Amino acid sequence: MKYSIGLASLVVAVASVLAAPVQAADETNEVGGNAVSSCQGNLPASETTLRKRPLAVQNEGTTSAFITCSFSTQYDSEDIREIGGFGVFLNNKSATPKTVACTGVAGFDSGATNVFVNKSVVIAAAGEGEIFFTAVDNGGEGYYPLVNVSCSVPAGAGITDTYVVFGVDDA
Amino acid sequence: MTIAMGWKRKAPLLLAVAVIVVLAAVTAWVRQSRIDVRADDVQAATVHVPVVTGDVAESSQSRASRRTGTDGRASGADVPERVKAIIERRARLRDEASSKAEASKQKAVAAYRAEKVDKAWATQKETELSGVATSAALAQAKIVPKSFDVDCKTTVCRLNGTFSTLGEAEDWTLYYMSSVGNALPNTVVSKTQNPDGTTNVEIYGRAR
Repeated sequence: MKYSIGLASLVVAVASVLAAPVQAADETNEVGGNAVSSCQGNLPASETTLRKRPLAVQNEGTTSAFITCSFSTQYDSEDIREIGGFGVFLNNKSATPKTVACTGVAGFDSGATNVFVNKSVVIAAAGEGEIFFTAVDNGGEGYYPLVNVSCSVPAGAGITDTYVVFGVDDA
Repeated sequence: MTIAMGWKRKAPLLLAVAVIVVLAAVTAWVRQSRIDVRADDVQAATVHVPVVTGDVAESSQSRASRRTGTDGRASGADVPERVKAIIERRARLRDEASSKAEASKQKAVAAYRAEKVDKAWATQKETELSGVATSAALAQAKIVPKSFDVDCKTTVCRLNGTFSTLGEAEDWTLYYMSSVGNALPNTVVSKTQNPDGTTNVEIYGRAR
């Protein structure tokens, strides 16, 4: 009798755990991709120096190139969730350290006033680095659902992949 | 008596089996519902995409039909509502973003006006920020401001430039912001078009 009750309790407990994932929950999601899917040069001159390869958009010219990356995220039908962070991974294929600077800007073109957050990083020769913008860089607030990064990428450096982190309703 | 005792012993196990069957049925039903909703969403979002002919389109349609059990046309009825929702949501978000940016600007302006000048720091920072404007990276954009000045206080700086056109102002702002990096981490940028066709760019930034 005791054995049956114990076994029954165990089976019910296991079944409850297996059923748990169907419950609604908020979760943090992320979208990543190689730079070629979301980045492009800003100036016509960049078209001759930027190489858009599957694994990196690389500046193979002799001067800096401006590159803009735009991030795709996900909307709920009504409930808007702010973006917690977004950024780019960078490389330096040259023999000297390079400084890459980027600006993050969110919002819409029609705005006469926009907030820009700016960062720079020194990447060692033949090294890698990253620039990410989070809520900490924006006075503790997340970003609105349309976010972009624009970078000044020196000769020899490149953008390899991009990521954006945002909340989703898993209901 | 013996039969009754047997049932009594087996009762908890039978109850557990019954609970499992119910949980499994509910789980399967909920998961199937979610799959159907996702498939409907995909169809709704792609209903106006130009028709692709050939094997690819055919296999996509057959996959969708297998998942939804529909011919793919019925769920397109909610697309106009979706478009309307996007338009309304975008307008609301744009207004909210504009209000937030304006509030950030007023905060930065107030801080700038309230601060005293730390001469040593301000002079060094003004030189640094002016240097970004004349860097080789910006020079290739071939945009020269008609006027440009930088004024720093103790932590906040104000940059002000005038450009021949709105397009030049937009480009210069992006290139400057893309180049300035850690020298000016948080900025609020405002553009104002003047009656003579020029555009003024005013930047307030925390630089310390």
